Amino acid sequence: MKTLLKALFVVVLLATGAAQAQRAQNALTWGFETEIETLDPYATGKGTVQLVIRNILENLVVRDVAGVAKPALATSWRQVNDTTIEFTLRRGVTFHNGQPFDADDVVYSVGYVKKPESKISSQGDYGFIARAEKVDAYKVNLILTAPTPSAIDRLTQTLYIVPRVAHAATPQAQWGAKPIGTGPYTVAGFEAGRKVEMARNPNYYKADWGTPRLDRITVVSIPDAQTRIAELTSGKVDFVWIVAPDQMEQLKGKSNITTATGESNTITFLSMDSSARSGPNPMQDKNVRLAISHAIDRKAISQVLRGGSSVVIHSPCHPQQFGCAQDVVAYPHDLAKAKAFMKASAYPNGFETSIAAFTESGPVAEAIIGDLREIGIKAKLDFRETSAWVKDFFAGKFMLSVVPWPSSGVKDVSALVPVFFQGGQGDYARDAEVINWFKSGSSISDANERKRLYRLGFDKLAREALDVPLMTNITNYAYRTGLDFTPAADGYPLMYMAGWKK
Amino acid sequence: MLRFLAGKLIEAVLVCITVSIITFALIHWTGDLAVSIGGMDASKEQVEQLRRLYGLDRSAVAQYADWAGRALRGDFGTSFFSKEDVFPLILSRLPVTVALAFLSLGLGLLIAVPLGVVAATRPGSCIDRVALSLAVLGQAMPSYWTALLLILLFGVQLQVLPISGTDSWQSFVLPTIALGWFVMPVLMRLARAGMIDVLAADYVRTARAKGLPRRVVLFKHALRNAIMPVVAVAAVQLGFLLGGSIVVESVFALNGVGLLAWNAIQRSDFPVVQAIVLIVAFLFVVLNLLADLINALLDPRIRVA
Repeated sequence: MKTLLKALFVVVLLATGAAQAQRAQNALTWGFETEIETLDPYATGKGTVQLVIRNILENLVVRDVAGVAKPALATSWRQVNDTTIEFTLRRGVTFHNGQPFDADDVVYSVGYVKKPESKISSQGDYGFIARAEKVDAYKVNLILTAPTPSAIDRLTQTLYIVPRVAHAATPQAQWGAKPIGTGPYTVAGFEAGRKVEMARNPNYYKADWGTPRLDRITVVSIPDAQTRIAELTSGKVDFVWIVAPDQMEQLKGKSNITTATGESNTITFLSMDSSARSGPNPMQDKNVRLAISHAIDRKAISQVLRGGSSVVIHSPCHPQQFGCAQDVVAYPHDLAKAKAFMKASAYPNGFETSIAAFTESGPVAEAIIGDLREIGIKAKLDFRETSAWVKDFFAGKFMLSVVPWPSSGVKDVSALVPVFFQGGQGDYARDAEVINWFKSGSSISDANERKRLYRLGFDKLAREALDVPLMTNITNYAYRTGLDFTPAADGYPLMYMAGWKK
Repeated sequence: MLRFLAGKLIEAVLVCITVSIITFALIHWTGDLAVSIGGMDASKEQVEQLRRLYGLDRSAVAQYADWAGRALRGDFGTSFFSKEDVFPLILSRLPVTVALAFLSLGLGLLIAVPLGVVAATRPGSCIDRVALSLAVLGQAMPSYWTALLLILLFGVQLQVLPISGTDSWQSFVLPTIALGWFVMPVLMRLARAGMIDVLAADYVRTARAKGLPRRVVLFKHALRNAIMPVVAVAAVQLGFLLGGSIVVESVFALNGVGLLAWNAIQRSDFPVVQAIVLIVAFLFVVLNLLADLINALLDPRIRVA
């Protein structure tokens, strides 16, 4: 028995020593929630995989921890006219294969994403780009399809620059296993669905944000949240994110683990089909919408299901976004008022309905279902797999649906309103005035006029209770104590900036 | 015997065709690949363009016929997302799932059969009650919960076994226990019930009356008959396991077929889902055929029938 206990003790020491070894080797292991099947940003349909890819491939501009666009492969830019931005490119940059970077690579990359035959994923992200024109070897004009005030911010998240010769010559599946970029890390190993190993790029230029500090970053796919936390605790991984509030509480007492809560650009709102896209329904009745707005205890949902710095919102936009007017008509939690509005509606005895939701929105929908029971609305949860939800939501089939929207981290409402309030497939309000105000606001450059137009739109959305804005999201991180990590303002971890404290 | 085999093969082909048609229909009803690829920001025009590019604007029959024609030539297409050829992609994931399936079924059988036999020889005894309690416990505990308990004990508290990945043989220990624990109860109950029936049969009484040793009566005469339903159900269980246990693969981050299928279903990656389902259906059919053959070998009456 003593021998067995000794053996166990040694194994425990070895396991805890693994974490120290990682630090000694200046390496970091990231427990990742998604299976990474490809590192091709134009093939993967998974948004979070871009967070890994951006260590390898770069954009023209990069968003810093404060959420501000800074130079990356472009050192400067200027607006030539409403639909043209001229970028001056960085000199002396080479791709991981040694090929020098210049304007031809930018033109090639734009041409690739705009070519229908490329069949790229997330095509909507590139709708604002029309084409690129080379001015000289280090100057390129990006032509936009329409005036896009948030173009620079969008470019921090889209348009990865690839080396024209190598990309064109490499089969797509092979490229997805070992893409070549200019980023701070190169691909040292890739096992589809399991692991990505990245090694520091020794030839990386001196970027505005600094230079990479870790020698190696390994991304290990662990889809189950509990297992990820267990691996963090056992020492096999050093960093996890999107940690649930209850797990954060569990981890807070552990001295070898640091927890941090950061901002996120994601908001959550309840979409209501006031325009009867799903057929005649109670949401067309303003009194019902007002009753729902007063019945939902948004503060409780925000605190319990999000926690941290999550705040209740009164307009369906993030307070950090340009043009987001939050000082509009607010609907505090007030059951008496809610019941009075129900009584005054065409449905005084309530009605039955369902609330559609997907992934982490499920618990939010459940909480709302509980609140609505208080005013006689018997709702049931219509929980969908993501693409099934996307298909039916944009087909206008849901009377009520919980919608989370990250705006790709863009700090401008023009990344949100065109999707939900400009008469498109995601618009369930379909208010002619709101559509016009938002359309105008998203297609001009005058900042003051844009603010005025957006305010008009958000004011009317609130006044007519055309949706129920719920709350901002937050991002929780947990990592090994000693890691120097700063949560970014958009909630997307910038791992290339992390390092072990000396 | 040849007629028996031919009949089973025809059945197998029909099952594969039916399964592929049902899968095709389900995927096309529940998800929209064009929306999935285009992303939430994609305009209506972009989604329509994707439909044209992927041939999704054709009739469902034309799409299925196209896929089936290529599948018959061994071309399962490429993943819409990773752009990899589907067949090698599935083959690369299969070893993990196959290893886990055989290990967990082996563990389940190793516990279930001896325990069922011993319990059947002493019905109502203390050991019988323990065996039945274990079976109830095994059926009542979802594999997800068992897996998490194992992770907490062996991975977090004792830190003696890896809890995610497939880096070494040790990585398979906990998933094997979780899945073996899941398949054991039904096999144990079948072995026990079968043995109780057989032990009461006339020929066993005769064997005992002839003075044959207890071991010979139990294992040569009784078990041979009692094991047949266990073989049939074990084959079905193996089929399920080869289809990949999404839950256990997800919890232990095993890069197997189950997780691949789950990801593909979520994104309507039709070629991957269709090929996985077809391969698993084929494996299912082969395993059932094998089970029938083993039973036919064990019991000549099945061959004649």
